[in-house]
Amino acid sequence: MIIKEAILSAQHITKAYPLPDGGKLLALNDVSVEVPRGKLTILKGRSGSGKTTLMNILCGLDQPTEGTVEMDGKEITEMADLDLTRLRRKDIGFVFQSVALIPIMTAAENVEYALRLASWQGDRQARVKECLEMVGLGKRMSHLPNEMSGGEQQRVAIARAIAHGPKLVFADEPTGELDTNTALQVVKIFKELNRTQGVTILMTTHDKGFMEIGDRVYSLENGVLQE
Amino acid sequence: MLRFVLRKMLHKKWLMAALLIGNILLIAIAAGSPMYTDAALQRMLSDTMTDYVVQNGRYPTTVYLLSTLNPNARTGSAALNAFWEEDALAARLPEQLGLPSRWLVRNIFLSDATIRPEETRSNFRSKTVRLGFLSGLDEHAEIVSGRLYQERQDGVVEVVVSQKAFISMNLMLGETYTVDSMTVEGKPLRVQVVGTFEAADSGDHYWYKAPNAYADQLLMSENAFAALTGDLSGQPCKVMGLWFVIMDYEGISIDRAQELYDVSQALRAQHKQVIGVSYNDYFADILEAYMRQETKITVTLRILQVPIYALLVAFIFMVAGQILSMEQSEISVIKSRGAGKHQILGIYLVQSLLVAAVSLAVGLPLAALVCQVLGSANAFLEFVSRRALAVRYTGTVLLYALGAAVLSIAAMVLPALRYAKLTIVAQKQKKRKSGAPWFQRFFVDFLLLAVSLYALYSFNAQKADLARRVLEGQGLDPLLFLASSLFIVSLGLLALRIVPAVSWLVYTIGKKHWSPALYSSFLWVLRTRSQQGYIVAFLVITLAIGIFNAQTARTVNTAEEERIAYMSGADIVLQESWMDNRAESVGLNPSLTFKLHYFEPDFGKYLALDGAEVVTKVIRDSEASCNTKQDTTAYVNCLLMGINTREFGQCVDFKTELLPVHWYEYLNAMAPDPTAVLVSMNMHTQLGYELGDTITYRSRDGFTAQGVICGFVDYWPSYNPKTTILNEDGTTTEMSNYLVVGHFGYMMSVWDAVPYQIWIKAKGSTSFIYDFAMRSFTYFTYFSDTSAQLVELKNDPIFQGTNGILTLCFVVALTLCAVGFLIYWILSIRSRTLLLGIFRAMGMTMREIIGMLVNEQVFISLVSIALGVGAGLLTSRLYIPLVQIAYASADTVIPLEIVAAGSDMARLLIVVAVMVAICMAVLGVLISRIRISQALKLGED
Repeated sequence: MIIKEAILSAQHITKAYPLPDGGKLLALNDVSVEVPRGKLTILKGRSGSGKTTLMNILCGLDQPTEGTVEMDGKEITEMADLDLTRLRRKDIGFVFQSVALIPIMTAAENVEYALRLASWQGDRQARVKECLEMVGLGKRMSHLPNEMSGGEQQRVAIARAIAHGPKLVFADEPTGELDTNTALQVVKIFKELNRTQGVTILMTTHDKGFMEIGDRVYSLENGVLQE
Repeated sequence: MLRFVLRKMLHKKWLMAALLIGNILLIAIAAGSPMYTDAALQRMLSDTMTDYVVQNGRYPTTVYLLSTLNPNARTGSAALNAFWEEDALAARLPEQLGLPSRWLVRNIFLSDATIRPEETRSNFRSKTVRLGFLSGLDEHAEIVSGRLYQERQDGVVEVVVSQKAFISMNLMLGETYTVDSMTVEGKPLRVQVVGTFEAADSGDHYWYKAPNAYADQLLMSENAFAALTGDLSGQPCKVMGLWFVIMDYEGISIDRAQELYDVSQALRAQHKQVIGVSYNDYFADILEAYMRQETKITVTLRILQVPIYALLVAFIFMVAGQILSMEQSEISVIKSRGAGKHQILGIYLVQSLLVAAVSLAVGLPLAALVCQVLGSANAFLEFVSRRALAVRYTGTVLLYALGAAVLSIAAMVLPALRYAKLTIVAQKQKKRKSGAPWFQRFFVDFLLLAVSLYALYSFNAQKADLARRVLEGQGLDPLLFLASSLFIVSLGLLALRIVPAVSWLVYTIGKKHWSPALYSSFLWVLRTRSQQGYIVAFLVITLAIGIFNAQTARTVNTAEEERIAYMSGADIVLQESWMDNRAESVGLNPSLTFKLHYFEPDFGKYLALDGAEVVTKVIRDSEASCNTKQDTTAYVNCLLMGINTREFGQCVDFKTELLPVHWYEYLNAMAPDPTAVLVSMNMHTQLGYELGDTITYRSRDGFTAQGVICGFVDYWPSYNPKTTILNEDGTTTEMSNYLVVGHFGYMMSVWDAVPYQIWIKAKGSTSFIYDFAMRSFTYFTYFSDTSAQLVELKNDPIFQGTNGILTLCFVVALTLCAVGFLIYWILSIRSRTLLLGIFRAMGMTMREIIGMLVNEQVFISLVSIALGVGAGLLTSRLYIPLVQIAYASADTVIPLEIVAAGSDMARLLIVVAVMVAICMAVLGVLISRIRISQALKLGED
């Protein structure tokens, strides 16, 4: 079934890795997902269930063995690398499981960098401030990543992911290394973004506690989607 | 543990390979250079000995003992014992010196014996002769007339005499003489001359004293002499003993130089205390001169190597540090699981021992190659095949190799000490702390710079001191060379401030306009300064050392070659022996004037020489004089030259930069006026002569002529403006030399024929002149062949070793520069895989990533390379004039010019370009291999 308002739609995705003995490891097996526009979609699954692989394919960082991904009506699995890069730069924001801030840049610079990449027109400093305040870090703008706690870093990553006003934010286990309170705060921010900015968010988690919060929830187990 | 270490090493095979390269080079060079020094010194000593034999016709290892015994010595007296002690010493000397004995020549005789013929001759009344024996005579002499002595029962002693003695003493063959002072059984001793002898083989070293030198000796057999004199007690006349101990010199190894010298000195001192004996040898002086040279060579070569060792150890330290910093999390993990500090150190010790063992195994054989390379160095980066050096693995060589291994083990293990202390927590804490490195906090770079500049300043102030060292035969001042190395190191450290400053400046200027890629790359360059420290300093230092070495070698070589060419004048300069009529003046009535007249040898034969391009006559009189301007009757010494301007100009290759205008202009200026002379500039500055002044000059034979000064020259072929003399008290005095150059034709017309030199410009090789001399039996009183002198220079152990070591250092510096550069960049990129993944995920294109890295290269590598080249050139400019002094002969005749061979620079830049290109290619491959999703996963660990 194809949902009309879906911003992202993946059909029959299969990802196979060759094994040394000649066989294949099926990381994803015929997975189809729809991500509704402006909503929070949750991809749930245990570690090793294939959710990061699926996520990478959905955002164009990885190629599926079989299947197609459409973003905003455009087929991205067939896109040239350069076009994909442009797409990521303008329309997509990332929050990685591994935090992945740029270690040599301060919180503000990290956020500003996303703006630079997306050729943000307007007052970059104001926007940086706005985004960092949104995640509650207005006071820690000039700190380097290694001077902040894991939660703080994750929030900077979120600020960076949304700063340039992407249509879609991919968040891979954004709460994975956070305590329950902080994790809840992060999810709250996501919901807030849905509401105020109309940003579509796709996040993965292994935490069952967030199931109710998601507008749509997919569950992945051993590369197969569970209903 | 061994297996663990081996696995760990295999895992980092590239870094390990780099570590091995550094270690093998270190050990090969550390072992190879003493090996070279040893072999070159041995060659030098052997050559000196061989030359001595050729020039003096005798073995340098000849000891000559002399003893005199007064008449009527008593048995058991000290004097008699001393006499026989000399005889015993002569016999045991070879053993005492440890040299194989060739001949022992004993010549003991009674002096002042008077003989008279038994049958009186009118032309022979009596003669004072020496009566004795010469051991080995029968084997080495050829009887010219008569026969050799034989034993006789009738109391008559048969003797033989040398040809010279036979004639000069007017002896007759078969004649019997009575020796009145000697009695045998109460009757006067009778001797009969039965033969005359000469040397059987004139080249026989047995004849240390030629047969003719035995001009007053009647020689009998040793047995006869013993029967006659017994133990030499109670002899009526003085007894003398001469012992020539001739030993093989070929076996003298340099290790024994000091020992032999000491034995010689001891014997000399011992003999001084005993009356009537003396000790002489020829090898002590040679050994003394050798040992002076040895110190100079060893010190110079060792000093020159210091930068290589420093570089290699720094390189090893850097690579070991890299390995450690890559392994620090592993170390922390091992530590957190309970491994002690000692176990961690143990792991690195085992690893470094393994590396050292492999390096020794490869490095030691390689050392022999290094040694041969050094020995075949002809000039900088230029080799010829020479007689191979005799390579020996002496204890010193092994000691050096082991020392190098220990040094490198220390360089590999010491950094581990720091890490071994840290646990995972401490390590994370440490990661957050980053500030200026310690040497910047304490301004060590400025301090080093100040020290090296102060040294430069004080050496410049004491240039005379350096010149004196050369006159005294000492080598390169270690401090001076150290100062230049320090200067380079300080510049390398200073670059750590300059490189980020340059990027900061560029970054700040265009801050608003940088593309995201350039922006992040500038931030990277500026905020990871401490990580770039190694590579920046390393690039600057290796390149600077490379350039400094290249220019030092070129300058030292060129300066010496040019000096030789300048002082020689032409390719070949020679003078034949000139006959004169001086003999006629003997006994001439002083009232009559005697006119000295020379007979000119045939000059035409030189014009006919095939290999000569230009032949010209040059009067060159170094004992001439000229008057001063103030007092026209006072004369000062000067060098007088008489030239044919046109031919002289064609014959001599004069470095025209030495004069303000082309030197042909000077020749042209004097050409029209036959009386015109060029004089040296110091005659203007010191004697006050001006252009147009008339000067009177006088040749060594007292001929005078007048000239009109038409120009002043600072330099002139074969003219040395200044001589430095070492005074007895260790101070030096500079003496100005004056020069007068006039027309050859004019002098000849005024003075008649005076001896002149023949200056020849060769078409190619100068061998034709040797053929000519051999064929025509021409004897030269003066001969100089520039090309032969140049060959001699190239064979000089100091020049050869210097060229070899500087070449080696240049090559090593560039190798390390390239390897270090590649390692740094490859590791730097690999360690940033995650970061590059983030950049890609955030939407940076491949091109932007590459642009970012290129920018980084420009501001880290290229700026460093430019600084390194600049530092090298600066160091050369500042320090080479001082370093060169150590190689110059006593006088730096012509001004020094720092020589930068374009080819060296080209080589250097090609290596750098190739290195950067390889690096970029490798980086390209590395980057294109990065899968974003994969890279990001890395971060999850």
